[in-house]
Amino acid sequence: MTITQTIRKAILIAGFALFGFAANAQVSGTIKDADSGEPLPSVSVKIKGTNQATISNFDGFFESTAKPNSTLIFSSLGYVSKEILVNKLNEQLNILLAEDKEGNELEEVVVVGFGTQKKSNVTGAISSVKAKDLENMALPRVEQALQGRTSGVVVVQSSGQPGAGSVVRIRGTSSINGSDPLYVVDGVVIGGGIDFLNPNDIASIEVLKDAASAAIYGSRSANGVVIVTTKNGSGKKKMEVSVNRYTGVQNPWKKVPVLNSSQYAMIQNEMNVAAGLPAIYSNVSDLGVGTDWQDAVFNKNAQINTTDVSIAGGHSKGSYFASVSNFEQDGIVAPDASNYKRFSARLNTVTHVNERFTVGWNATYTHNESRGVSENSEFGSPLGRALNIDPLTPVYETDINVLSQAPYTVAGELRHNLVRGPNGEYFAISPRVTSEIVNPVAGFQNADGYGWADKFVNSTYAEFKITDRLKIRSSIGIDLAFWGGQNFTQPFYLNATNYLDTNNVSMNFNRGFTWIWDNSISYDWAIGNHNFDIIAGHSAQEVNGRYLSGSKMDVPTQIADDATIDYARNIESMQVGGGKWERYAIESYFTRLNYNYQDKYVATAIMRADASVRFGPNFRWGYFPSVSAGWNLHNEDFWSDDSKIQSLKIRAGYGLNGSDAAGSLEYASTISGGRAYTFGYGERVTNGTSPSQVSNPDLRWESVAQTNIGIDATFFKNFRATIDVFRRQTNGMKIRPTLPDYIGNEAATANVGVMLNQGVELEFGWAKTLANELYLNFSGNVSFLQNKVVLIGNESGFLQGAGWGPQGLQITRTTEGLPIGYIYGYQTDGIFQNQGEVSAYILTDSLGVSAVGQPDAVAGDFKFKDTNGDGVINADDRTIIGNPTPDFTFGFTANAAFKGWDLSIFLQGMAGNDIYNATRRYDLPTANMPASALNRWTGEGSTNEYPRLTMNDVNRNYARSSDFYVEDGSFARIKNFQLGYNFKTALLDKLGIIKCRAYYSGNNLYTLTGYSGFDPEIGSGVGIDRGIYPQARTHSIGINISFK
Amino acid sequence: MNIHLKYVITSVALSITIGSCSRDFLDVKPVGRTLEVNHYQNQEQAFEALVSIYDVLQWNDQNGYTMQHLLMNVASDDTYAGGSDASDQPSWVATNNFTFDPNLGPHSGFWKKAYRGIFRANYYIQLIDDVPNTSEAFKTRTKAEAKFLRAKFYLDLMRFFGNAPLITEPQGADDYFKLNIPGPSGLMTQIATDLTDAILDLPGTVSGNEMGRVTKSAAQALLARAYLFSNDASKMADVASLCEDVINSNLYSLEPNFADIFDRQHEYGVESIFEIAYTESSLQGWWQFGSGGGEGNVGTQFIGMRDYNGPTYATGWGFCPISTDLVSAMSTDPRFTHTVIDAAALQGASYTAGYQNTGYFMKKYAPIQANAALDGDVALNWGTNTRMIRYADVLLMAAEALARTNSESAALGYLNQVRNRVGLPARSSSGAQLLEDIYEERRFELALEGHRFHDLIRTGKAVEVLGSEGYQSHNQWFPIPQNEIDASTDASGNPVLTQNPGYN
Repeated sequence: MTITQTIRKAILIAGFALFGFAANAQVSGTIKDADSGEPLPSVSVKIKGTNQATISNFDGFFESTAKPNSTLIFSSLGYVSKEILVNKLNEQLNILLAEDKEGNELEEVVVVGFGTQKKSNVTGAISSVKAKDLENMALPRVEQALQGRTSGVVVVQSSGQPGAGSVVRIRGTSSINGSDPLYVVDGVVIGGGIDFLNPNDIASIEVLKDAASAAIYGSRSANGVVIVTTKNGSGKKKMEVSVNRYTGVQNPWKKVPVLNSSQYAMIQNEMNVAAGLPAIYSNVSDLGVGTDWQDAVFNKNAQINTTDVSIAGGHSKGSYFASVSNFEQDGIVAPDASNYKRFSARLNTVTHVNERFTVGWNATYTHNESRGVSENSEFGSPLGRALNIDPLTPVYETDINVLSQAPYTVAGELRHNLVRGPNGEYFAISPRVTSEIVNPVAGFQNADGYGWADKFVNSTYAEFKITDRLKIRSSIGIDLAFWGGQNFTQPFYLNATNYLDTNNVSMNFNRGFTWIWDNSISYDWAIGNHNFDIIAGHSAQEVNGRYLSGSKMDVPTQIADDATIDYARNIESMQVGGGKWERYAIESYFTRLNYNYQDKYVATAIMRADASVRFGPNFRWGYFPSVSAGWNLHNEDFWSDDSKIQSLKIRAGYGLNGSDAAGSLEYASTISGGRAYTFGYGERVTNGTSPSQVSNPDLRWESVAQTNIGIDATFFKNFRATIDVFRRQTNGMKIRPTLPDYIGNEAATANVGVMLNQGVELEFGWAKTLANELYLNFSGNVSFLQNKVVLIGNESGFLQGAGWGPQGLQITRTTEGLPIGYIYGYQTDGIFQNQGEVSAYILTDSLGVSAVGQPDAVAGDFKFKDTNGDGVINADDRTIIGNPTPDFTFGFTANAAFKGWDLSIFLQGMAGNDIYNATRRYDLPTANMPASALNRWTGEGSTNEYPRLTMNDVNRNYARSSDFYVEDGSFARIKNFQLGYNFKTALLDKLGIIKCRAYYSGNNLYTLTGYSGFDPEIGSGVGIDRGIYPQARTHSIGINISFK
Repeated sequence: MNIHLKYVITSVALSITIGSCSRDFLDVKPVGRTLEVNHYQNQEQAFEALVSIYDVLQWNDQNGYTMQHLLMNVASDDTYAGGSDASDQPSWVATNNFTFDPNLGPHSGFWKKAYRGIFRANYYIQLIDDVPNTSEAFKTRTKAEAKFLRAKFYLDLMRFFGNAPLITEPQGADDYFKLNIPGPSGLMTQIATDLTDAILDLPGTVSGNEMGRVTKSAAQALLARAYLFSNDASKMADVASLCEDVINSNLYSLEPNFADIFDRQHEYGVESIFEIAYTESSLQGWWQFGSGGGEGNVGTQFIGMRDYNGPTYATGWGFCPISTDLVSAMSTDPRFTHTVIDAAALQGASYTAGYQNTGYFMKKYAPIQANAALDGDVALNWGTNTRMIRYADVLLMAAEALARTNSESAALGYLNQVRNRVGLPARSSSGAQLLEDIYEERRFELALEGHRFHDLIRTGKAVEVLGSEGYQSHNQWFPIPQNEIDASTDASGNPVLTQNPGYN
């Protein structure tokens, strides 16, 4: 046993030794709902200024050890807390709690990881979203619950494709090696995202933003932690059944203007003439409008439907929550080729076996199926094709003369693999635009594939109170997931380079299994007015997985459901692959100490030690400490009770978080295959191997050091505000240094990079119940963030980012001193209006030699800036031309309720971010163009922004990454608007219906943006629009019914 | 205190997991791969390390499209760059008109590829002596193969860069910036040493299953080529004797029918001395591009006619359109129709004219419909082998070396063997005219096989022939890639590589 292991054990044994003794009950009583008079279970009864608390039982009965002259605080979620002074020994209290409509945040209980804390005692930066914020939101996915709701959390949907995920960034991008937060659902660390969750099952989502709170998750907390807690029925006395259903239609909200047929022909003629070639089209004005390819590709009135039924309730030994839900969504692009279905079922129970022993069980099963089309790609996405294919080509080719020639025929016969529409008509093939830009509608006909997943997540725990102060808890979570896909591709001929002669079928299966076992012991004690509580624990997790896939050609069917690998006939085409993952395992020890002095001074210290298999023996263990403290000024004696400021807390924290974002055995040199060569007449592909890289046994954790200072205040009774300022620096960011190529081998990754994120976050709210039952609530948040890459540590000082087009033009880069993934290219400086300006563009190099900067340019071409001043325009002049990271993001919600009516508006957006509009196929001069091409340069003085168009673009006006393609991506969007009415009639009462609400909900009703593309919200490949699948505008109607 | 014993026992039992995770829990066993330190324990594993050197031969995807012989055609006066338009492949256009610079051009790919191959060869040569369970015969032969391959990569570096570092062992971190840059003659010395060693240990022939592995004749021919292109007149006798060793081995002969040389069915034919092997069946996909993975040849796709519709040929991307120079010089040669496709003469066919289109396309290595890959991406999976050294080339090298050492009748004999095969009348020239005849024969016989550009350089004609395309004398070498100079910065902050003359 090593010394560190000994120390870890000693800490835990010390935890056991700190036994305390429960004093006898001094005060008891019953707690009831002020409105209905029903007893309230699970109400927290705490002695003010201490950590000592108890909970009311099923009959609302409680006992407390409070002595006379101490104050008891009664609090329960959804009720206004009450403070009662205990007058005498053995006092019997009758407490009535009133429902809290305005929501007193300070009394809310916040989940902090391995425990909960009252919001007013939290010393870190934690944002929280509760079930009531999400009710009736018609959210397809859980991450969307966080979008615009909390400061410091940026959620961008990766696309509008049904089932598509979201990019979630907490306080910015902390590393080039992945910045996804850690998701913990009911104590289980979840891999592979949280789309398996039914949003209606969520009780609360907490986001641990700063190091001081996230450190309890140690090595995986560097990107923040999202803790999801599902409903469990506690606080309810009777069984309550809820039915939620909505149905909606979705439509695209924008089309991107492109050239119509006659405009296209005119521009093409002009381009040919400019290149010294003859014009092609003689009848330009007769060509009319032509095909609207976006119309052909979009799916109108796509359906979205959800049905959700849940049962929740309590009984004398505990509580339960069960739900089933079904969600179906069709996409707004590519009818029948883009949709998503999810079925989920959940059962959560809590059983108090006796007053000391509690067991709980949360289990959920989810099945989903998704069909998708390629998105955000300049090569094969339906929308990318729709923007680039010429409008002269019809959707269907009906002209028999055309159909009897190439390319529809080969050797005089119609090709067997022409793609046909639903009525047997032939899809047209463009004779003008080639490569991947095929008929966009034909393009998504031939593949019939879908992905599916089955996931079972279970968490079981047992909790035992050895004494009132000493508690032990053990929980086991498992996450068992199966997923895979099936694809059946029919033969197709889309153009000369995109065809398939024989159909093929492929299938794949994957299985992933995670178990996580947490054990902890907690204890609280007091020394005078100094209250302490401590938790210490151990956690171990293991992840295993395996996979199998295969494919085969020539299935004797045209029906996707019939197509299986076994049914396919071409034995030689059969391929099979399979294997298993290298095991992932992590072992951790953690402890947290809370200190509280009369609720005035609060402090927390956390220490976590983690060991991950991803690192070599030299640096296997990582240590992640944090400290934080808060001062509740309003609890000080000097604070006047009639102050305009009701509460004021100042808090500060510092800590280290880690990231183990490394590949398995990344530290080692392994033998890599795939270095094959072909020998022999029979062309035997013979495997070859060589070392994968130079090894680095010192590879270790990336760590994020973060300082946070915050203020929470409530004032003028109805206002509340929270401000946080933070600085988080990522050290030891894993980067593969650039070895000179002459070394001949790959470098090992090393912990060399440094990244810095700094920001300010603001949350504010106002809530008031006015006379006449009018209730109003406004809340909002704004987050400012600045990202800078401090050190990359390779020779060049930069990392290549995204490429564009077949030549892979570099359009993003990460460079020391600049924000991550900034947009990279040439700066333009207007357009040469005449040959004189070309000749006058003289550049001088460092030796004083002058020459014409762009000798090949002619009037109408871009003038590029010599940004490095070396006297020549070349690749070295590329520089920062945009930043995809927003300066600030914001969300704003307004709620109003009057009698039975309720209304809410939710607005969300970002500002200061740039988008690279990479939808244009600059390498295909016959491709269609945005309608803005009509503003091209046509002669001296015509424009200084849009260069001339020519088939022979010698100046590479369009074939360079330049600021021409960069647009402002700021937007503000009415994400959701809802209007509902709550029916309350005697009849409903008689039927036992306690809630019956009907509502209209609209999503993405209005988007304010200057961006010219389909949608400014681009999550996948942040900041680059290659033909994004846009968000839908949805109108839906729904109903919520609850009955007892 | 009311403690229920069974709950305590249950809970404590659950809590005893603390510290119970054994050391094994944090060990990871490689799955489907092995750690380098545990590998190479037998002959089979050693052979795989040898294969990885061969693998590099066929790479066309380092830092962009870098098909060596096609780019050499582009650099010569035989073809233009082509493609869809001038912006399609800027590095090819730059090769065509000699506007490449330290940042732009195909040379960073050539450089990277050669040094990857050299690393793997160095690794193998260092490794093989200590691999257990391996026969001496295996060690001897495969080490010779590794030396041949290393020499091939150094020959590329010698001709492309001249001043490339000479590295003959895997480098440790301490050696990264300690370089030996001996210049072209120093590289030639290493090439000669490696090939001389290899010639001793290589087999004369290989079995059908081993076709594609290096033979003694291949090493002799490669050394002859290296001497010839090192342009050292004093080595002509060596060139002649090496070529005659190949000729007198009687293992090779000219294909009776010239058209068969580049036929897919005649790979490893009687005329073939060394080929770089490709196959249609490796299912290469775009996801592999740039990694050197996959066993297909995208070069064939490159030279096909754009959007071609018609019989025989398959569609391609329109690169390497034949220059009007070559067409007019060669159009009456009997080999012309087997070397060049005259698109206008094709029946029932159409294609899209691309950049620099002349209507003439490469027929050697052209994409043939019947040979298209059935699976994987067609563009990446053409299987036509590159004929790196063929017998006619050896005959012409022998003729040249003999002519330059005053054995003119022997020279004429070899030259006329090549002419006779295609029914051309025998030459009887002598002196300077004989050399000119041999050079012309090289141009037509070996047209579009990537020799012409360096033939022009070594014969001193490059400026005269290519000057109009932008060639200047310093273009005999490519610039050292700028990113490589930058990456060679040592601890003191100075790059240890220096740029070739004319590129600063």
